[in-house]
Amino acid sequence: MELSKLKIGESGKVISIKTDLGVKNRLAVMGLTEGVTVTLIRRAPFLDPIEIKLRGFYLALRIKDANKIQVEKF
Amino acid sequence: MNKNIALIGNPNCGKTTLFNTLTGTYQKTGNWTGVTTEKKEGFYKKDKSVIITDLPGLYSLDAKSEDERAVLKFIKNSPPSVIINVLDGTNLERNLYLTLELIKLRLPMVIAVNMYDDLIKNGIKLNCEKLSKLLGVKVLPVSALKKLNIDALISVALKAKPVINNLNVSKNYAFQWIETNVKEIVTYKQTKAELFTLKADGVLTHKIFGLPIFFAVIALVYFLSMKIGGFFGGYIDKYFEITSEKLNVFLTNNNCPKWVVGVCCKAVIQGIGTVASFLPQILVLFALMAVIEQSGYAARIAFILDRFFRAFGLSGKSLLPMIVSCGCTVSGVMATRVIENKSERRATVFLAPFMPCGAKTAVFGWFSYEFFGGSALIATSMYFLALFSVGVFGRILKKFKAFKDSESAFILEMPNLRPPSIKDVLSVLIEKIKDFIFKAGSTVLLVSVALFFLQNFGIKGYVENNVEESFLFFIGNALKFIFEPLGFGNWQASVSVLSGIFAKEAVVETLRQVTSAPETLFYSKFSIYAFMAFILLSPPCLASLVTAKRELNSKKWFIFMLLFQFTAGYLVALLINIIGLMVINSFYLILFLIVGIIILSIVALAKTKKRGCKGCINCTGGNAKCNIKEKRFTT
Repeated sequence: MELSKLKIGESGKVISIKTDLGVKNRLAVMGLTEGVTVTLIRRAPFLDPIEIKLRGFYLALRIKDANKIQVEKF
Repeated sequence: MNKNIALIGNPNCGKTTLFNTLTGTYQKTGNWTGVTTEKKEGFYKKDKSVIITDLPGLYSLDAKSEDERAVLKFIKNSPPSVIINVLDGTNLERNLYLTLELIKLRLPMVIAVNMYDDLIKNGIKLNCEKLSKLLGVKVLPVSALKKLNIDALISVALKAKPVINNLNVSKNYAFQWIETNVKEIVTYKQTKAELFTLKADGVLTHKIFGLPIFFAVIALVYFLSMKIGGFFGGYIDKYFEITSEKLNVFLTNNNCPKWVVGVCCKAVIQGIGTVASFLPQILVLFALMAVIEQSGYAARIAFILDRFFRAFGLSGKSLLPMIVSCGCTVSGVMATRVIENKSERRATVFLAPFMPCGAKTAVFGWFSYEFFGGSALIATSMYFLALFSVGVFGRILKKFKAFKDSESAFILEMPNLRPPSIKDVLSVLIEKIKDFIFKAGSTVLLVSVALFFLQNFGIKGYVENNVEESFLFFIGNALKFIFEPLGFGNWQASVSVLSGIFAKEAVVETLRQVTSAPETLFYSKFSIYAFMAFILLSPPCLASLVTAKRELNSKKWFIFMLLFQFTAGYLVALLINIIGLMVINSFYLILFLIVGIIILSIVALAKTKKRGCKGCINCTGGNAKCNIKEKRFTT
């Protein structure tokens, strides 16, 4: 399923990242790589962007990009 | 020989705080990504032969944005004698990625695990020896804030040798390597700060309350700066006024020529007095802005407003410079360096100056007190008018080809909230006071004196009370036709706008010098508001323009920016004045309604004509004028 479809508080393991290359590289150097565990923390007031937790820190990204990240829900 | 130590690390890991501690100087810090946008050099407090270089933060050495590239350029062109790789001790896993890249440079290097005080406080143990052995680099736990291990760090750094190890982790496996190894170095548990942040964010970025809270915070910022600032500002103004009067009496008694008395009392003392009376307001605003940045709320603002900004084709990335711009446009324009996408960066340089900087806010404060009974709502409304204009004119910019592809991704680290450091807030204020004294003593004084001479001298020489023969009158008169439609087409308001180019504070100073009854200069209250809107959106002060020109790095774009900002200010002011006219006078209401209906029907007619051609495929009309391009047939 897509990362953006997780419910608040749910975690999953990233399987694939199919965003634009620029975004993919940017996420990769921050540790959002295949195999990492991510947790959906919250959605912004307009439901977009979302805040996730990974590798002990918090990151905001847009639904548009989160839609292209496949996760396997725990 | 001088040793050059460079501080390199992820954004928001405390490099600038370390720099400030090491050099004893003050550079702006903040609790979010991208506060430092260019390299800064300073001398080590205890040994002036050691030069410390603070660099913008970066996640990796394959850098994309301007500020990150500056780091690479620095390492390549003038390799430092030693690198201090600053790590955020509370998040080694992500921070070590850059470290793995840095050790491949084979430069002398030391690792400083910063925020060690946070680890101790939360009972988290850190095995520095293990990390040191793994990487082949000396590792020291430090706390830049609590000044822990700082001198030890420098003495180790000065002895550092080029990195030697057999470690070669490829890019794709870097995080796997880190994951397995970091477990043996440190075990994290949820800290109190993190728990607090989670709870607080639940409110601050709440689905329903998030936005109202944001509005309330901004309103409170402007309310406090106006009320507290206005209170003290009034006294300062009065003090200068009394001094000016005393000096006037003294100089006149000593038979000084009238124009000398004028220069001293009116231009110098009252001019500086006007600007000095703004200082409290600007200081309160800066202190509160510093609190917003230091606490980490700024990152939340970006999180909340990203969606809104995207509707206008901008990303949350361009929000960061806008927030910074609310203090000072110069810093705001500089902050655009964090934006990777070139055309989005350009668009942000165009738009960030819309935001009300400290000086503009002070001007609006004065206007509120003078014309609107001191209502803080007026000043606050300027902030939202600026946000709104950024949206609307951002959308218009997008219509230009060069800005079409100007939306970069929004990927922002959300730092833990933390109480702002009082020392840092005070340092911001001290810096601001220094800046201000410099500005008041140079630009503002110059403008004020120049204004006085232009006002009191004409072709015939000293004209004293015959303002209408002065140079200033000619200048203002030549310009006033431009501002006629905005509701302040007179020479006084025109020169006031003109003087704003040098420093926005000068707008009020000029108004006070050229007239004793400013309300007579404006057609209505709406015209006053239009005037404020024009000051808000039209090209910023000289210092900002110089910065913008440098950042745009192109004459063509700079001129386009000036035209764009002038047009934006003009249109919004015009609109406000027209609304004013309609409200005040029903004749105008009817007139504009008729004009509006005519325009609307023309637009509608043009649209229906286009729509009429939708049936191109079966078109029987054989309209010779129809020159719709090929593409349209398919749709």
